[in-house]
Amino acid sequence: MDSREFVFSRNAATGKLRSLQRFLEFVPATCSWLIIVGLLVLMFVEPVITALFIIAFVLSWLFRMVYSNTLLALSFYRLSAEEKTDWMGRLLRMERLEEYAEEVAREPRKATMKERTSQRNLLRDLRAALDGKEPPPEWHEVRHVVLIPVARETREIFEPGIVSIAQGTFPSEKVLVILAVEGRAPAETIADARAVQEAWGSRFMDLQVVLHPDGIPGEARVKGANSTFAAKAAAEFMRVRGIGYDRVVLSCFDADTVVSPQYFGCLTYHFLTCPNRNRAGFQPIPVYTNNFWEAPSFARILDISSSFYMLVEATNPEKLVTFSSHSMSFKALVDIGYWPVDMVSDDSAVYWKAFIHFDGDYRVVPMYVTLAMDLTQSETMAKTAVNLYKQRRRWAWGVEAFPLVVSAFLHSKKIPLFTRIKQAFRLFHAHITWATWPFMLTVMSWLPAMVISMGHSHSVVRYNEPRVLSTMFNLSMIGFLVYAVLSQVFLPRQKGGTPVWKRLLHALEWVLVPPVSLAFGAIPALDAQTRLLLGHRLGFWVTVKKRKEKKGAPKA
Amino acid sequence: MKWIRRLLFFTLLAGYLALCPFILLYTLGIVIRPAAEESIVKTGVLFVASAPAGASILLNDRPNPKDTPAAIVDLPPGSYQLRLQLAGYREWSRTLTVKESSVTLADDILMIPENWVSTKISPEAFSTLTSLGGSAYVLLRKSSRLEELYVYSLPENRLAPVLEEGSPKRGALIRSLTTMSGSSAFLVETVKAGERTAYMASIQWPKTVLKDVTQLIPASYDRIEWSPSYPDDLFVQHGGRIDWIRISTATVRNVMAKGAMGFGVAGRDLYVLETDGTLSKIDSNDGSRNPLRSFKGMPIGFLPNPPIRIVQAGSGIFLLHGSNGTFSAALPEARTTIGGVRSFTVDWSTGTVLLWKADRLGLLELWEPQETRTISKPEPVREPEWIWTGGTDIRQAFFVHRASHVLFQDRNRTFIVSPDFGTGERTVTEIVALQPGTSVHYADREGRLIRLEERTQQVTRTEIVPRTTVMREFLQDIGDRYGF
Repeated sequence: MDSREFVFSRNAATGKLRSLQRFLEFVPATCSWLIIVGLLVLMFVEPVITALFIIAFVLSWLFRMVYSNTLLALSFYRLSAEEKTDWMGRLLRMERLEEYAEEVAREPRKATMKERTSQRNLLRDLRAALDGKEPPPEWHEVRHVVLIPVARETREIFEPGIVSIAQGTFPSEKVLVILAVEGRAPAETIADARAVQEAWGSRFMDLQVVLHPDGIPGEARVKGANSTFAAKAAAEFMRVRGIGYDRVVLSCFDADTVVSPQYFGCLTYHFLTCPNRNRAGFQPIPVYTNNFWEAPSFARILDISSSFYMLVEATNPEKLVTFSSHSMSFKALVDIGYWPVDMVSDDSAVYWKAFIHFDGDYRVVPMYVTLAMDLTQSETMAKTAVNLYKQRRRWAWGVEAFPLVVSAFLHSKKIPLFTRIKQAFRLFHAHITWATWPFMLTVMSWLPAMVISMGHSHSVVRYNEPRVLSTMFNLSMIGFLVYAVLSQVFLPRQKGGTPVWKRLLHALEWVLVPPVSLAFGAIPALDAQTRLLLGHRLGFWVTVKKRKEKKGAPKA
Repeated sequence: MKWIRRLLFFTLLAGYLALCPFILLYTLGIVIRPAAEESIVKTGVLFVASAPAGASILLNDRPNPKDTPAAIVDLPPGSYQLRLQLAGYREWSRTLTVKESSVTLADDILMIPENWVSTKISPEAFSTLTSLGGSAYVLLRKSSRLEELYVYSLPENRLAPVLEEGSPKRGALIRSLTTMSGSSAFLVETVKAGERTAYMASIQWPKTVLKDVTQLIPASYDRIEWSPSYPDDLFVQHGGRIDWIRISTATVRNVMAKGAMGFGVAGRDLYVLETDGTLSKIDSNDGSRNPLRSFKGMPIGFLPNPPIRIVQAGSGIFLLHGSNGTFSAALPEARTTIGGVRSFTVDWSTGTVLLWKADRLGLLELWEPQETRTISKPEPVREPEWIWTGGTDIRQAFFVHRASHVLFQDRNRTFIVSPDFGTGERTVTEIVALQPGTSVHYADREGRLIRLEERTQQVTRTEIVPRTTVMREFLQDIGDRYGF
């Protein structure tokens, strides 16, 4: 089967392919449950062996923590190195690309290490652009499409994002903004969208409100269907104006996304310097700071951990998969047939769809620029917890891509075998560890010692295992200290400054990681995988985001 | 970044693969010491716990960083001199053997105070102390008059008279007091103006309720017994006859008309040994008989002389003690017969019987430990371990500190015997002296020895097991029972 014939859709497969995919839907949950239940059973049958296994596992987790903390620190450094980069300045100089590259190569060594890092990366990017299959277009030829799917958010949620685009350094008249509103959205939402269109439309190439009708055959009630409908409108807009899709970059943002002023300058830069720009996605670092101080501590810890996760993933572009608000080549999006219209996890699904469609010739370029979003928050802490659980379960529902990806890989003839095995294993491994590791670390690590003490009181393991484990967990505190320190960088500034006690309190919140990772990490992941196994589909659930601070409407 | 990442990954992977085996081996107690003569050493652990806790530990004269309780790990196999020091207590010292990949337990160490501290409970003098063994109460008598019989409550640390002020029973003389191990109820027979009266007493602190059972209890009988859980049901043996008396309904029912050599009560179950050597279980409700085993084939002398006290000590395990002092244990794969045994007590948690003769104390394991049980040769005869053979007139003995120690009364002195910790040697330490002709009371839950002091005859209590240890062990018992 040619990759282009493979339909990346939950409901498209029939016959043997459907049976294969159904069989693969069993795999993640079966493995996760086997690990959890198997360990519990083994604990009572062979507690000493289980204790040794747990020690080996915790030790590996400790080493992995060292690995990821080091990469996190390097990524942080890279992010801070690019903090002051004048991306628009670079774009202007890229109009004479060869000369620019030579100038940069001849530039004297910069004074600080951060400047030298930035300079080195710039030179590498310029040379890559020069060595690309085709020369990059001029920056002013690039157009941006910003899709903002809206389900029931109100103006106070999505307007700040539009303002941030309008007030960015990249000329907003080269940006088409589409508010992709669900036809079933409340009237207030539709009215808000129109009002924002009225207020800000003149600042952009256009600001459209596209209403996605309900009940289109073949579609599920998912964000991907809404985005696809709106993207098609964008494609038509570009076609009518004779703008080639290969000059267009699409950004699909969550409704609460607020971009930094340099975002589109940075995005354009990466688009131009990417050698194969029309087979690429672009992933910024999400930071959840819009309502940081309003949200409860467990929500803060979780979302900062997500930012850290993206920072670590950014150090390995070969592994990077698009997540949440991201950007991609519009041509690539059109070539692959847009997002799947029946899958919940549209952000990761579009990556896999593109990867398969282009026979593995698709990559995600990490961008060391942040974009701010909202933490999950509701009226009460209990509701926030419920919403957070549902959000994480929706994220974990990305496992629905697993059977599609593996079945596509099995039929692919063009993607190298090693690449297929590597990618499939990474996807599988990510979901299994998501569902099982918190259990093994928080619950199962202390159980073997208890079981051993019941029946093997004369075993040396009974006394040594708790000591060895507690030593390793104590060492892991260093890792959490790193998180606590680095998270201070992400703390949004409050008016009048953030008091030291508040910063210290936030640092202490990291002790919540074990129970939080279990309650909002492993359990929702296990929930999602089990639903997939049982054939219970998860519909798209819109994360409730509320801001306590009532800000006045931004002025155009 | 790519090369940094790969370098870091492979370096850490190499580090993990190198370190992991060592850590796993260390967990198993195997330490690798390349420079030493023996490069691979299978270490052992020594776990030390004392009562009271907090004793400083010296192992081969080197101080241990932690006080008791402590697990000392990474010990090469061999002998170690262990010393414990605690202010106010005598130094405890033993040479213990640590085996490879194994834990040596020294967790039942009871620190002996330099001076036993006794506290007077009452300034009054008493003539007799009767232990309500296994309960929190002691009976004290100033004389043989019923109104001068008192109950002492260990938890309350107070005395209360058995008779209320102005009771018509005043003036009665106590003829006999019958107690049952583990029960706070007792049977008191009195005589007043030539008339015999029997009362079943139940302590409802601070009162003692006396129920007249004169019409129910025969004037003479060979044995009487009741279950601590059901003091309302009494079983009386007279010759070969056994009667079941229910006090609350004042009924007497004949369970066995003749041929009974002895009996025992466990809950509401009655075990009867008949003259033909059959041991049966009789349902006290409908009288149905269920033969359990036969002792017909047993050697002569196995069955004690009647009346025989029977204790059911587990599935298929029966203990028989007769009027001639013969103690026999019928175990699933073994038997024991010992003559001259004065009495015995059972620790149910460890399955150990403590029995004593006039001159010696013995411990009998009712079942072999799992680790040492051999399938090939079941032992037909099991002998007790005689832990002390220097006695003269051992009258009472008690398990102390979760059955690790034994407290006993030899004539008018009390002693405590320590476990041997695998060395084969036990130490015996004298505690306190008591008024000649009296007995003592000890309950492990309270950790206190109650006696009548020599000369003054005042009731005193002496702390044997520290209160904090008692509380901790109580909580541990709860935890064990409910699986915490």
